[in-house]
Amino acid sequence: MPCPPAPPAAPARATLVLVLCAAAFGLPACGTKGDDTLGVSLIEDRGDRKAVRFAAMAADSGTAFQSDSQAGDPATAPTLLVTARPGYLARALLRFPNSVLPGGVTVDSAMVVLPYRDGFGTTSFSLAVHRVLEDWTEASFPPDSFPAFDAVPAVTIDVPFPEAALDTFSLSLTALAQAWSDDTTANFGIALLPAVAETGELAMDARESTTPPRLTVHWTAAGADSSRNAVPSADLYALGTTPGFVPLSGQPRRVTIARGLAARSFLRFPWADPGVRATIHRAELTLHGDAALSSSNGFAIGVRRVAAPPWNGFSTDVDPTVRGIRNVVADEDSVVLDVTDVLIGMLDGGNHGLEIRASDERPDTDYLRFHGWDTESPALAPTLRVWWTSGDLLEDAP
Amino acid sequence: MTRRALPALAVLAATIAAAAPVRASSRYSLRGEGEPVLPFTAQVRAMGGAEAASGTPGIGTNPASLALADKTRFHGSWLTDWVRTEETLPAGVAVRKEYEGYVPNLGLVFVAPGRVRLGTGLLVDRRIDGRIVRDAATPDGQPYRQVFEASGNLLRVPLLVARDAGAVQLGAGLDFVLGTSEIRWRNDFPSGTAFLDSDDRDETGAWGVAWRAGVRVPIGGRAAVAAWGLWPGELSGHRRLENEDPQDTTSAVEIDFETETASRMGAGVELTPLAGWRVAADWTREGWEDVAAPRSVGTFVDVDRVSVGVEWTGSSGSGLRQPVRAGFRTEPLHTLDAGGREIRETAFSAGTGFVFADGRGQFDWFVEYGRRGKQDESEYFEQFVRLGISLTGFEEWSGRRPPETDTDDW
Repeated sequence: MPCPPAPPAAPARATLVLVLCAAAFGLPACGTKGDDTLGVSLIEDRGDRKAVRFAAMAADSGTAFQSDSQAGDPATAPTLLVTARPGYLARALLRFPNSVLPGGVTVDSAMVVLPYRDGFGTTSFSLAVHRVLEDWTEASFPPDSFPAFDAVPAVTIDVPFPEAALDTFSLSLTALAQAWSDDTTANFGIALLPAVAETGELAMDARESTTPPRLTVHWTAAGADSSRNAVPSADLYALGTTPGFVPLSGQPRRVTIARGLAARSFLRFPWADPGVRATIHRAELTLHGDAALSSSNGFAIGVRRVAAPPWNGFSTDVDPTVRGIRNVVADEDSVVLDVTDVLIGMLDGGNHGLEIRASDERPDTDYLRFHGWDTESPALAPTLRVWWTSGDLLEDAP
Repeated sequence: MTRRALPALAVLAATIAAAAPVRASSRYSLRGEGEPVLPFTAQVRAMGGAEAASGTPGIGTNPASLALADKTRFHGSWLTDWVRTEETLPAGVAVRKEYEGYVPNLGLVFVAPGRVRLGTGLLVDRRIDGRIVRDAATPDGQPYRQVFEASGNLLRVPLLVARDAGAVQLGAGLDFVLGTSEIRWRNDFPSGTAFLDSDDRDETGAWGVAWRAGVRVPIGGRAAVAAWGLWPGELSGHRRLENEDPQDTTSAVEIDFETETASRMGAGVELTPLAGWRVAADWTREGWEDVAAPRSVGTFVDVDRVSVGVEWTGSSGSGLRQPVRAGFRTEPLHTLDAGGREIRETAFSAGTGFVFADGRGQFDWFVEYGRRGKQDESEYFEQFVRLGISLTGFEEWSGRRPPETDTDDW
């Protein structure tokens, strides 16, 4: 039986359906041709509140303060400091393990290699090495209770700084090592002191650093040559003041930052609370240096937020993390610190001021001064610049 | 052929919908509660959206129309928008063109025993969508970019029941109303400038119940009038404000709140004055002035929507067996523009459709051209073209005779 002929409308109808569906489904896939800049009035309405805002302000109060004791724990410090800068005295101690040298041998040579870190002075640093005469432990102690040492230096050398290429310098301690071998109970190490009339400063890497000091000993025993080398089993330094010491924080109208006997400064800027959920895009603290009142080869400084009033020197409640760290050289006219994270902390914690300090207060006794909030040159006063966007508010219901 | 093509078309639609841009909403949708999405099938849209007194069962407006359903039916629609937006600026006219495709409604009408009809589905009621980008500079001259984005929609899930009462059709039920929105403002600095970007989000979600009731009264054999209303209760909402700064995790706030949306009431008439002719007209009022407007909007205005449509179906001897539909619709938006002026949307529509599979399916389509605002006067002047299709399936649910027991002996 033949199939009945198909209704003539059916193919046209199917084609129509396909065309319509293809058009309906296909047009959206043509992609965007949008100009998203349309909406000037609407974005201007909201932009009154949501545009980025900017404020530059001068500090309205500040103070500086200095510790009378050594910064940090010298036993764990990565540096050893020897200094005779005016008002300061720092002496270092090193002791190498007895295991490096057997008793009763003939020492052919003993050489200590000290990694140079930094120096301050106008000429080379004259370093005196003394034999320590009594036991000591690697723990902080008052400078005036320094262990007894031989009054006559075993060695005195000039460390020729400043030389950029200087990595290490060496001390020949053959005679001292022979004495330790002869009486192994008398190995109390060596003391590194500034030589008489020295007024400079020398910083070396300590055993806690990645490039520790190293002693290499060659000796002869039973006709055979032997040698060993070792890093110190203990080292530290003791920093104190001399009668000529003048506290750095006594300088008026300046922000003072020092290492060694740490000096820090507080500044407060009258920044109004930008409201909840605000975003800090950027915050910069600009300090103008006073090279004439600074004494430094340069070091890194940073900022911490004062977490709660009042300002009370080193007892002040501040955030634990130093932020905005930046290396500063002494003759730098101005320094800009990125304190964005500090200001973000202020959004929740309030504006109680900023603490400006050295990021590492242990290596030396350098200090920097910047013009303070009450400087005699207002154009050089510290400035805080902040860019922020206000947060959404509950009353702005969608 | 059509039966074989439909699954392929469905896959094609789903694929394209997933990849399609969704930016063709009215620029005015960024003000107030968004842009209305009329939740009608293509058959109704072709007639301007006049549905209240229609003899075609629908779940969008008057629930009484469900009582006219003689078969269980389901429908789904697909809508493609093309919009051209002009903004007159001092420097000239900026133009934006966008496409968008989406599913505006799905529906199911079930014929229950006892002349009861049940209706449910998913209706996209309103939508917000848009992105505005503007280059800006901080007061001290740092360049950055402002990006405003808003998205969201208001959905309704109706649960309706309808029944004949003599010659009159009655319907009632409730709509679950679910609204979500996200408003986002970003200030983006060029990379490498050491400036952090901001990203503020304001997210809301709200839901509640709206009660709906309607009546349709046939008058003689050639007319019917209808009235209906939708009264939403308070919507319970949750709002979250958040600053996306990764270094600041403490500033988000979440609150519960109560909000509201506009009540609606409508009236309609349908006439069949001559054989093959059907004329329908609707008036719908949305009571936005009773709804508290956000501070950024100021005030809402009531919406009076007028829809008129006509359908002509040729006689068997005319050679044109598909109905031809045309419609007109006009309404003001519920918000004013930036200058405080009323914005009126006016649209003309046309369409047709046909049944297939021995009456078990119906395919309808419409095309609509419309305008919003006045050129060179309103904040935006928008022209839009919409192409929509609806597919309706009919199923006669009846008791099936159980298979006969095999009694043959082996």
